[in-house]
Amino acid sequence: MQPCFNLEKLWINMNSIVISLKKDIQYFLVTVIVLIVFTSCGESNQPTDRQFKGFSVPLNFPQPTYNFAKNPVTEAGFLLGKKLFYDEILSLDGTIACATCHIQTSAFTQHGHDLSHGINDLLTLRNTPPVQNMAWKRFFMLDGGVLDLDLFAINPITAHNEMGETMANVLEKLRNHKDYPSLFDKAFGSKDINTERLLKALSQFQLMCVSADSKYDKVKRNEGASFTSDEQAGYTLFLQKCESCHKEPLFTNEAFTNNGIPIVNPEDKGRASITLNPKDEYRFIIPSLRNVAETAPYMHTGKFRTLSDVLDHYSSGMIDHPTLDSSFRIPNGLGIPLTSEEKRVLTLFLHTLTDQNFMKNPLLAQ
Amino acid sequence: MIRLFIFFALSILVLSCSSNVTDPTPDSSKKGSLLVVFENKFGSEEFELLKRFTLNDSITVVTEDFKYYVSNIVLNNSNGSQYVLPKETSYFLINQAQIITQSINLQYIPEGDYSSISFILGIDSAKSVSPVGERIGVLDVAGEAKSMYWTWNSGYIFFALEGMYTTPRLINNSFKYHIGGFGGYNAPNLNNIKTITVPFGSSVLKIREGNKPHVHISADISTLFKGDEAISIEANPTVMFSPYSVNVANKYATMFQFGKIMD
Repeated sequence: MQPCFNLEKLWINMNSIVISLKKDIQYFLVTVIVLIVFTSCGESNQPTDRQFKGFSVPLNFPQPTYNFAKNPVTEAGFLLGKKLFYDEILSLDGTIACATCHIQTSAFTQHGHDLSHGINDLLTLRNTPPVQNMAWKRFFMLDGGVLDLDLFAINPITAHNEMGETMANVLEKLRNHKDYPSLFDKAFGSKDINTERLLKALSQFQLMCVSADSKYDKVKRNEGASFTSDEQAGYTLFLQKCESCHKEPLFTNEAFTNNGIPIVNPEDKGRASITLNPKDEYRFIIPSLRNVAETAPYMHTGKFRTLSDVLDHYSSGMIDHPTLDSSFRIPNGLGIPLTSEEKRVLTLFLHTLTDQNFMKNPLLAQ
Repeated sequence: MIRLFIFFALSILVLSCSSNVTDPTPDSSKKGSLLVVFENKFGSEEFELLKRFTLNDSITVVTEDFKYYVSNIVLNNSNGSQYVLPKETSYFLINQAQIITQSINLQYIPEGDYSSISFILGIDSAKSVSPVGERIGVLDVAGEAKSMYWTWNSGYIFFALEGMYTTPRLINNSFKYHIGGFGGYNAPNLNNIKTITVPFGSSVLKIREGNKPHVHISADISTLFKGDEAISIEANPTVMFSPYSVNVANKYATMFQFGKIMD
């Protein structure tokens, strides 16, 4: 984007130079050459933060689950996906973009909202999950109803309480748009705009939303960072009491569980609506804890406002239910016993999962 | 006399020609085509949207939408062999609102004498988990599949029937049957995929190069609400992704009957 923009500006400058000073053609050519040399030097010596470097697997991460062979991430595809992600054109009344509820500075969640609002101020069913490390996810939606990232975006686009659109109408609007046909051409080799290309472009943007640059990652990759003694104590405790579900390095094992939170909406039976198995009632996917300090409120209901509320819930707030995970049944009650000192160091460790480079990455910003 | 001779000669020529054209020994290296016509019915009546049909003494129904997928078509040869249509050309959405969808065109079928047709009512599990690039035509969620797809539980609706029913006590209550379920991605789940075979009885479907016979298959919607394990529209007016849907699928598996073959 940047170099093209510069050249365009320069071209205008050159034209005005030629017209206003009425210099001869040789002078004009010299100017062009000088300017081209100047710009190309600028490009090679000063790579911007917005420079696209493609998808790569962080050193401390496993291989992704997404099948990149079917949708290789290219700069043009990614930029198209980004434009779509930030564009309200995907919604019926042009008011809601993906980025309306998935805000980068909160790890692509909607900070402060228990449930998000779609078109006409309609409330969604569940708290907005982050868009991060999508290439490693096996399940999409908090009940795991979708198993392919490419098929996920149909949900928010067509849900009556999110974007409220039809896929056909979105495609039609994009086809009639002044910019999109040529952007699809750049990304996919022709101006055709169809379901597959729309969904794959959106996937390309989401796949690039990789969060792997927190303090925790830098410690793990021996990049010069180290935990404070409190953070280390928190990490040790985390490994003992939390890691079986919030498995490193993605901080989830992607299992479905009932963690004893109050049932706000009895109709939302979570995983059971997909499996039709009564044992899965009120079970929801275990979320990643990456950037957890920045993604309040918590749980699929969004009813816990702070990390402190969450830890209090685990230590002493659980509500019994037939499908409550058996690991929470302990001799004298329910939950994970935690002292206040343990909660303090755990919280400090959880803050080491905050990845400001991800949340401020200009490549992912509008 | 000469006129009579010419008449006989021509008659013999015509007869021999016609028998040569319509019934030579099939040559499986040659290909023919076929039109399968789905005739939706309600009992003995021709089915129509927005028309009131009488289910029994006390219940009438008006249907607003009726669609189903037919896929994975196989023609069973009377010699015991089978012809499986290429998978990619074997997905059809029969839509009551669009008459053109009710006749499906099958091409490049090896010559042969076929005794029955088999198909899946719905979408097979492999296609149900296929990449987005392989979901085109009637499987495109932005196109014909838009009302035949569960976005939240990635899967096609195989059979959709909805409208209103009236009983002596209730007037124009809505009913909605959206039946799907391909068996689950990675754990067994609801499976309503039904393979249906329609035998042609004593008729033979002769596929020959240059000919295009029509096979008529009737689909009687009232079958769902009649006979053993009948669905009670009053007790179960709305059935979607739920264990009970198996009962609806078991009934729709029996609604197809052979009609006739027109050579």
